[in-house]
Amino acid sequence: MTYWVDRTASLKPGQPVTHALVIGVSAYDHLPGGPLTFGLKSLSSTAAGAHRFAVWLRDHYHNPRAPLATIRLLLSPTAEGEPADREHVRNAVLGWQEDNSRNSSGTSFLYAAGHGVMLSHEDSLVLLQDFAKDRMVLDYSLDIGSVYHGMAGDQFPQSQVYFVDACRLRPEVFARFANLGTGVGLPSPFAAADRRSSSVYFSAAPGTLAYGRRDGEGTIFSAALLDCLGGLAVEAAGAGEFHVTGASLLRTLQEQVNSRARQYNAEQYVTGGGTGLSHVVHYFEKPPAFPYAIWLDPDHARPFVRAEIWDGDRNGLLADGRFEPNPASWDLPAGLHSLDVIVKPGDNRFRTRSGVALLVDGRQARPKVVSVE
Amino acid sequence: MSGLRVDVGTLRVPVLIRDTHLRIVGQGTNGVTFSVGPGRYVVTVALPGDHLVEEVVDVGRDETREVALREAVNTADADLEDRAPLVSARHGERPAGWQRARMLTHAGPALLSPARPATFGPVTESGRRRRAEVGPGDQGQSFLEVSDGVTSVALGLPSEGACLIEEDLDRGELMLSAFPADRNARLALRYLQANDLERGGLLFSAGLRRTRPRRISSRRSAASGEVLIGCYLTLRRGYFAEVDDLIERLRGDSAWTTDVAIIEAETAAARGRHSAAADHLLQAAGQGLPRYTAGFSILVSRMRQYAREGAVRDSLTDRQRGLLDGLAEAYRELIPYADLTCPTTTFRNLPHLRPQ
Repeated sequence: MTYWVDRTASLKPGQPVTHALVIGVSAYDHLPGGPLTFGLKSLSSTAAGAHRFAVWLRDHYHNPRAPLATIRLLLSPTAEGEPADREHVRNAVLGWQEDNSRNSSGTSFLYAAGHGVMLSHEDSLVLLQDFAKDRMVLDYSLDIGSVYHGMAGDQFPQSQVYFVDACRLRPEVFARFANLGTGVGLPSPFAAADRRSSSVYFSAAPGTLAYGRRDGEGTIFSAALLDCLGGLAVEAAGAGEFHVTGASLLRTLQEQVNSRARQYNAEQYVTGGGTGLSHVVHYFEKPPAFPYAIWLDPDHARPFVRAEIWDGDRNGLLADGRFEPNPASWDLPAGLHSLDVIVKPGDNRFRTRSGVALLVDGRQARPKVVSVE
Repeated sequence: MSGLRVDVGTLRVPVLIRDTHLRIVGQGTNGVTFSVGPGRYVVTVALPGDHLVEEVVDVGRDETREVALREAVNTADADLEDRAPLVSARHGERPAGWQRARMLTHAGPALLSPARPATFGPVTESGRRRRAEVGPGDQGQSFLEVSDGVTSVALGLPSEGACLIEEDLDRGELMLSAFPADRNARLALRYLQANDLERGGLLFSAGLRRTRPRRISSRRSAASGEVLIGCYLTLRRGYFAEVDDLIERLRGDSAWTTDVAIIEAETAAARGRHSAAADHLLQAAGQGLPRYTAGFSILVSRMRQYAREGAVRDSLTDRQRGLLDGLAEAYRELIPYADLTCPTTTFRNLPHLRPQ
């Protein structure tokens, strides 16, 4: 197994790090066709979504407490990384566990996408590239539950994140091959106690039609996930420190996936699993910025007023300008800011407004209305 | 010192207080006065599903501000309102479109066998939702099966008292979910459903947990239902000692024996006591299905773990392994039909329940 990204040489030996395993299956060797494939077909967007997530990890993931060390990438079709078949996935899972076995203060990521079925909040199966190679069809699947339980113990990262982006198998289909083989997993070590903080995100699309985005750049889930990690799921932790936690990611991802699926006239839900207290999934090097719209009322006051937007302590000017157009939009860092709308000196028709609170967190649904009458 | 207090009426909700840097400077529930310094704060009532009711307030020196969010909270989540008009079905009738509705026993994996017709309380319709109140009745009849003639849904009823069945009218198939009629318990269940442990957990860290543990009689099952939801939320947060305390309060309430056994199993497993966990799982399975999806999920997850070869399985006795293997086989066909997005254990179109 070769790493897709390997930064271990640039990191201090023994320091907590992040190891990631990313698997995406769109092209299935034995689909459609075959007596034990139950009408399943290859998918269009899963591998692309997995690849985009791996690129995000490589280029944007930021965790000063556990910097990225390695990414294993397995895709089908294979443009980069290695094939997502049983043999390669098995080696990758074992290698990923081995790397993580001396990384208790670090973080681990597992992302798996393809045909799948959810069995519990932590347990699911994702079909691999060579699914249905023989009649023990589930030998060619990834058993997420087995991997999850195999990563329990104090020697493994106490911060673990699992994403499963699945095109849902119909129950009657799965019930017919549920005992035909054993998925790739990990042996369950005898753990004294399971104290980790883990987050499991499972999203099952109802069918291939609703599954991929029309632009072919991944799935609804993967696109929403990247937007959430990019800022929509931001939470403030301290002065100037912003991050995404397991809990904030789940809340935002549920909302984003559901609302995006509705645009395709489909229903798609993200189900959350895992245990323990919320943990940080991603840190921002600086506060993420969001467009923030402000509507000046009345509109005819526009030529006579200007806006100044200050940080919450009113120590720094973040933006200023006129309401052209109205509503005007400014890119502002996440935070609670303070708006002054200043009327030209000598104009008694309007009144200056000072210290209007602006809560910027990426959730603005409609422009903030500020009246100067 | 200054203070902030949030008024949302009788509902108990999680409240967050953040400063101008959006740092959390206070969290708990409404009804508590948060001590803060003078300044500007974002007061947030965090409802399930990431519905936030927020207000920015300025607090002066030595001032205690009361933030009135009662109306906003009620408006933000239509599920919290009870103003839906009655529809044509009368008390005791099946709602229109529900061709079959019957109570089911929930004993063992050969489960969901018909017991008797279900009886309904008032049926209401509001927007895209139709609600029917259902009284689960006797022990052992804690599931409801509804069919529209094409599809069927079987779902756990969350309370010995009345509970609400909600149907989403926009969908082409039966989409039902059951919630306790009690508003606070219903809210807690929505946090559990969304796995929003942080905020849902505040309800129990600030409220129920602080009270002196005491046993709850079967006549107070509505309250014990809320405690049970608190158990699941606390369990998922990893506060095992507090789960033990909460479980003590449920002893003697026979309505929840399956769920309690599963919670005890998971608590033991997370502590590394897998043999004890296996005993609790077997006890739970002998009593029937858990009513809550959180319990069903644990049952499936641990059952599958104990069926796999490895050190954990090796730590079990031969008898336990044999019984668990049999259990896994009995549940095998059931598992893929479970809808894990629902708050209570729900199966859609189980083959042996399909309309003939």
